[in-house]
Parts: sequence; C-alpha cells; structure tokens
Amino acid sequence: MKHPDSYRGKEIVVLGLARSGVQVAKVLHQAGAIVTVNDRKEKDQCPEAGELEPLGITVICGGHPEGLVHPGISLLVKNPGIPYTAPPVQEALKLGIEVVTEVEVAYHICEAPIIGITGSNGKTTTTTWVGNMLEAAGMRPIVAGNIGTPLCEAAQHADAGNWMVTELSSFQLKGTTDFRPRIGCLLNLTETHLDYHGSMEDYASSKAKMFANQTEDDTAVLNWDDSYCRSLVPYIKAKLLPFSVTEELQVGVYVSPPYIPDTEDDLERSIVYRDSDGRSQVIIPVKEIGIPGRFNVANAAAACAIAIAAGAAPDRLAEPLASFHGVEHRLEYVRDVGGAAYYNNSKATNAKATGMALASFHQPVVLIAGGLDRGSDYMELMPLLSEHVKAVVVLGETADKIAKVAEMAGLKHIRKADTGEDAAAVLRSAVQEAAALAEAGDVVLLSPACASWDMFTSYEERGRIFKEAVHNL
Amino acid sequence: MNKTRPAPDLWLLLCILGLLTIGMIMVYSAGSVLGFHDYGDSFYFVKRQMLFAGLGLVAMFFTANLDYHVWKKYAKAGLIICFGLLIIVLIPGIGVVRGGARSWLGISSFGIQPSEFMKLGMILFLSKWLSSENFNITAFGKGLLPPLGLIGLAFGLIMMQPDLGTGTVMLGASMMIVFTAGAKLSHLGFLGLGGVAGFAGLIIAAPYRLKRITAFLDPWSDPLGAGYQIIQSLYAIGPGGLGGLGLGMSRQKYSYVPEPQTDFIFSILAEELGFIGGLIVLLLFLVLVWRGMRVAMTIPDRFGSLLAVGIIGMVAVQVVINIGVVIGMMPVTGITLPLISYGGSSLTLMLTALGILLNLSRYAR
Repeated sequence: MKHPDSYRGKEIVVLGLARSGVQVAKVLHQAGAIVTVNDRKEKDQCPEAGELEPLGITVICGGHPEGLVHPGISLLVKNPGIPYTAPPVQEALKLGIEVVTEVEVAYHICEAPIIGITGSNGKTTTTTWVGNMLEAAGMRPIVAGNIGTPLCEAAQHADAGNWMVTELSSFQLKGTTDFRPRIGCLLNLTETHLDYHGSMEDYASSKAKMFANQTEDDTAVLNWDDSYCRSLVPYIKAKLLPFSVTEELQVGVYVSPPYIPDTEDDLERSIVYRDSDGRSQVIIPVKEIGIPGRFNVANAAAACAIAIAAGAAPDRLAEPLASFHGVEHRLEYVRDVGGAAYYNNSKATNAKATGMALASFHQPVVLIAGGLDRGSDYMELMPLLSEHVKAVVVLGETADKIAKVAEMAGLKHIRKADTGEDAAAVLRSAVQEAAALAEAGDVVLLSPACASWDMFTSYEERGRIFKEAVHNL
Repeated sequence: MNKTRPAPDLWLLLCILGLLTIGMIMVYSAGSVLGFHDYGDSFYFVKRQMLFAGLGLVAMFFTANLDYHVWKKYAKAGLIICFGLLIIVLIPGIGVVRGGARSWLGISSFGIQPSEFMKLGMILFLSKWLSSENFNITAFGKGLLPPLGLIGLAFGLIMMQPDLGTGTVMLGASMMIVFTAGAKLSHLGFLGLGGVAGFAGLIIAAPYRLKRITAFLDPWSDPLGAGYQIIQSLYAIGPGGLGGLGLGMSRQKYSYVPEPQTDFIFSILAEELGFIGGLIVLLLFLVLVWRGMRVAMTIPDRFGSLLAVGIIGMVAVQVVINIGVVIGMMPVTGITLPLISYGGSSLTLMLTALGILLNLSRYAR
C-alpha cells in the first residue's frame, strides 16, 4: 500500500456504509485522515459500525445531520449508488468540496498498475477473461471491484508486481479526479442507467473519464465497431489498441474474416492480433471460445487486447478463452430438457443486452422476458424478435409493452405468465409455459431486458429461481 | 477530459489553406489577362475560383467533421451514381464538349465533370471493398482481377470522352489502394507491362497524343504546333530565375502560355515567383503527402488506411503529372494542379476529399 500524504490530517466524510464504504473508511483512517462515516440507515441496521468505531472512526447513522458537510471537509467519498442529487452531495458540491468514489481512493493507494474495464454490456465476462489470461501468464492479477473484494481492500494488499484488474461502472467512474489506469478499456456504450445519469451525455462522459488522465505510457483499448468509442480517439493521449469484429485492423485485435453486421453465415473465423510492425498471428478459432455469441467474441477480442497490452504473450491466450464457460446469469447454460437447451441470461437488464443474447443463437428461441418498467423502449428488439424468436412468454411490469413489440414483430405465440404476489411462482409458470412451446432443437432463454426489482431482490435471485425451475422440469 | 473538439492534423490543414491561398493569388494574376480579353473582367476567374473554394471549404468542413465510417455505407450507391453520370455524359446532346472532350454535364458556364466524381467514388468504394469483406487480394483470378476490372471499366468510360488526365489520376490513385491492400508485386508487375502496352495503344490510337509525345521528346520539332505549349511554358519558367519577375509581372500570360490559369498555372507561378516560389509550393505538397501517409500508416483500421492512401495518391499523382508536363518532363496531358489551378467542380471535389483526410487524421497518431 502506498501512503499518500495527501490524506494526512484531512477531514473526510464517507457517505454510505456497505462493504466498500467500510473499506475506504479504514484505508483513509490508516492514511492519517480524520474520517466520519454517514449512512441514512438506522444504526441497528448497520452492523459495520461496530467494526469502525473502535478504530476511532466517527459513525453517524439514521440520516444526514445538518453540518455533516461543512467547509472544513476536504473530501467526500460517496458510495457509487448514491445519486448526485442527495442532499449531502449537493451541499459538498456547493461548497466546492471534491466528491469522489472509492475508485479514486483505491487509485491513490494502489501500488499495482490498474486495468480498468467499463462498458454498458460484457464487463464482467471480459474482466474474468483478463484475470484468467494474466493468471495463466504468471502475472499475478488481482480481480477486484464489482466482482470479488472491494477495490480499496484489494488495493491495500497489492504490490508493484501485481496487476489490479477491475470492472468499473459509470457510477464509479463519475466520481474520479486523478484516476489513471495503466490500461483502460471501453467495451461499448448503449443507453442504460439513464434514470441515474439523466442524460446520455452525462453517461458517456462518465465512461470517458477512464481515459482522461492517461498519458502516452498507458494504453486505451477501444471497441472500433462502436461509433461512440471511436469518437473518443481524438481526445485520448494513451497508446491505442483497438479491437473489432467487423473490420480488419492495421494494429489491434480483430476477427478474420470479419463479421458482416446484421448478417449470419457459417464462415470459420479466428481472433487475430496484429502488432505495430504489421505481423499478425491467430489467437484462437472463434468456435473454440467457451461462451457462445458474437458479442462474446467482441469481449474475447477486448480481453486479448488488454492482456497483450499488459505484456501477456498472444499465443498463450487461447486456453483461458476456451476453458471459461461464462459467468452465472450471463448466457449461462443450464441444461437440456426434451432436446431444447435452457439458458439463463438474467443479467440482461436492458433491451440491448437481450438483443445481443438473441443474436448469439442460430436456433429458434423461446424467450422469457419482462420486469421492472424503467421507461425504456423495446422497439429495437423488434427485428431480432422476428428473426430469432418463435415464441415469447412475458412477465412483470413490462409484460404488455414487450408483448406489443412481439406482436408487431409478427410472433404467433405470445403468452403471459400467471400473475400473482409470489414472484417465484410467476417465474415457474413462465418456465412451464416456455417448456410447452419449445421443441427439440430450440433454445429456451431467460433474458428479461429489464431490471428485476419489481418482483425480485436482484437479477441473481431471478436467475437462480429460473435455474431451479428448469431443473425441476 | 477536454470537452472542446480537438483540431485535426494542423500540418495538413495549414498546407491545404496555404496552397489554396497561393492558388487564389495566382489564379487572379495568371487569369486576369484572359478574363479581361474573353469576359471583359480581369477578376472573372478569381471571382469564380472564390465561389468554388467557398463551396469547397464548406464541403471540407462538413466531411472533416463526419465520422468517415459513414462513407462505407454510401460507397456502393456513390459508385453506381458515378458510373451512371459517366455514361450519361457520353450521350451527345447531354454531355457538353469542351476542349475536344465530351466531359461536362450542365448548362452554360456552370457544369460538373462526372470523371472528377468518379475519382473520389472509386477511392471510397475500393477502400471499402478491399478492406471490410473477406477479400484475398493475393489471389489473382478471384482477388486481384475483379477490382482491376472495375477500375478498367471506369477508366475505359473516362477515355471515351476522352480525358486521359483525369483517367490517369483515377487509375493511379486506385492502383495505390490496390498495392497498399497487399496485391502481389509479381501480379502487379505482370499487369504493369500490359498497362504500358495499353497506354502505348491509346497514344497511337489518337493522333494528337502521338504528336504530344514526339513534341515532348523534341518540342522544337514543331514549335508552332504540338510543341507550342511546352515551349511557351518553358519560356515562362526560364526567365523566372531564382526570385521571379515579381507578382503580376508575367509576360507569358499574355496569350502565350495556353490555359495560364488552369493546367499551366505553375509555369506562370514560376515566372512571377521564381524558383523559390515554385519550391515553396512543392514543399507544401510534400508536407501534405507526408502527413497524409502518416495518417494512412497510423490509423487503426484498414478501411481508413486505404481511404487515406487513395486520397493522398490522387493529390500526389495529379501534382507529379501537372508539374511534369509544365516543366517538359512529361507529354502534355490536361490535368489541373490541386488547390492551385482554376477549376470549378474539381476544386470543390478536391477540398471535399481533403476534408475526409482531415477527419481520418483525427484518428491517427
């Protein structure tokens, strides 16, 4: 752990307990700061308080008291989930106090070079692949952040011989000032989380913060197929290592022969790396990659580019790509029933993610979709529904919205799951409905295109109930 | 992160604007006599040049701020339109004959040359075709021949006007793309021999071309006929000396040098501004080509790279041929000096193409 003197003697407020809040408070305390932790929840709901108070850290629970944020404060570290409209954050911004997330603190204390991976979809898969690749190359990666331990905790124990591999959300990136990853990666950008960010511009500029402090010694890994990613290039000072699945690149990781957008064919493809001297080498044939889907080919290409930028040998990347079969709830294969294959894609909480999942199957799909209504528009799913889907079972708040799009797509079989208070029963009925519609050779896919919070506590719970229902068929 | 949009390659932009400014001054100077004689207005050519440069700069600003990937989408439709125009212009009564070639579409003094559009249309389409699909150009029959057939077809249509100059530039820029895309040298060498034979055939087929060749080898064999243009051009360049006669002081623009404001503008420039003036223009072109090549070499994707090669190839071929002709090192071919010569649609189109190059430069490093 680095001990930046910049925190010594400073008064710092940490907003939001939870695991990352506790860790960041401890780290700042250790660095000599005078730390106050504040959470809206009542004290009896914050068991973490007992862990912090003996260290001499002030913990204030049950609301945000008047005067918590005052001109003597030099930094406010907020949980990424707390919106900028929250009163203490507003107060801090008014007083000109720097507002950051745990990521910024982690950056200042971390001795290891950081690999930051962000994007609207595919972060976790890519992050996992990068971790496995660097592990295979003996480069001692630490995978932390949204998956694994909180970033601050991992950063404390990392030394210069490690690589800190971390998945970063736009919420986390928005609260950074000096954060500068050795390798920064932007996978893609789609409209999502607009309820938090308010506008696409704000969302996009949060993602772009990944590259803001990078210099020529760093590397930026960008999706060359994504026009937003490309538009960032003029602003980036770091070395570029792009990836693409639709274009041959002069330098970077690409798929050869390239996919032609919106068309399908049976060509044998490979992921290829071409270095700055123009030498190219095959990394892996696409069909050997452990997770199906064109968008996972893009994630694989991104992971290869990141690992190569970190110094891994390109010819050693095939094994990690082949042996990893996906993260739970992300196009996770469940089992075959009556010749139909069941996939759990509960993580798909927006239309784009569901679209990507649908596009990755050649077989007819029986789709289970629907969930929390966040005001999104599902029209973009229409062409994919008519092309890949033979039947839809809808549930949740958006059931009627999605049913309508399916109708417009010309689907004959549109079923509505039973409604009721018991979310698990609703989902089970949806699975049974889908099973009745599926024939041998089909795919049954849970890919809701919506968040789960109208019925379930999380997409993980939704996914697990789905898998249970599939196993009980 | 810096919110303001960063400028494209400054060197490129400065070269373009510098050459355009020099061109404007020289079109005024070199065209004043002919303008006054033919139209009663010594500003006739420079006024029109300003109009087309203005249009061109607007187009350049537009293309420089347009993500070049959109050209991929429209490349095919664009090429089809270009072929359509090339065919239409050949129809007597629709295409207008000027200077012995049926190469113009339009009414009265305003018109467009479809062959100019074909240069850019072909560059865009070849860049897309040879970069994005499963294209193996190292194969001869299935790889190299189809694009060559397409280029040959366009060249053939342009030669039916006939317009050897524009055809050669289109051919040169296209071949640079084909070469950069990785065509085998043995294939190209083999075809190159065929090309030389074909060119020889074209020259023999049109008697005026053969005359130009012999005139080029010894202009003084026919000083009042085929050798006239070269001799008058050299009479302009020679007296220019190191420092030139001074701006506006050309004697050869008084109806001696033909087309002093277009194809032979460089000889008037050398006469008035001397060796130093000519050298400055050549250096600006050199920097332009250098920065363009840098874009081609460092842009991440193949499409962008081929596109940059095509555009910069178009400029380079045009400069080499134009100046080669003016100084008597090449047989006379009607071709303008990019950004300098007077020329309506060709100037606007050149600026449009350079706008694309400026956009490409934003992605290069």
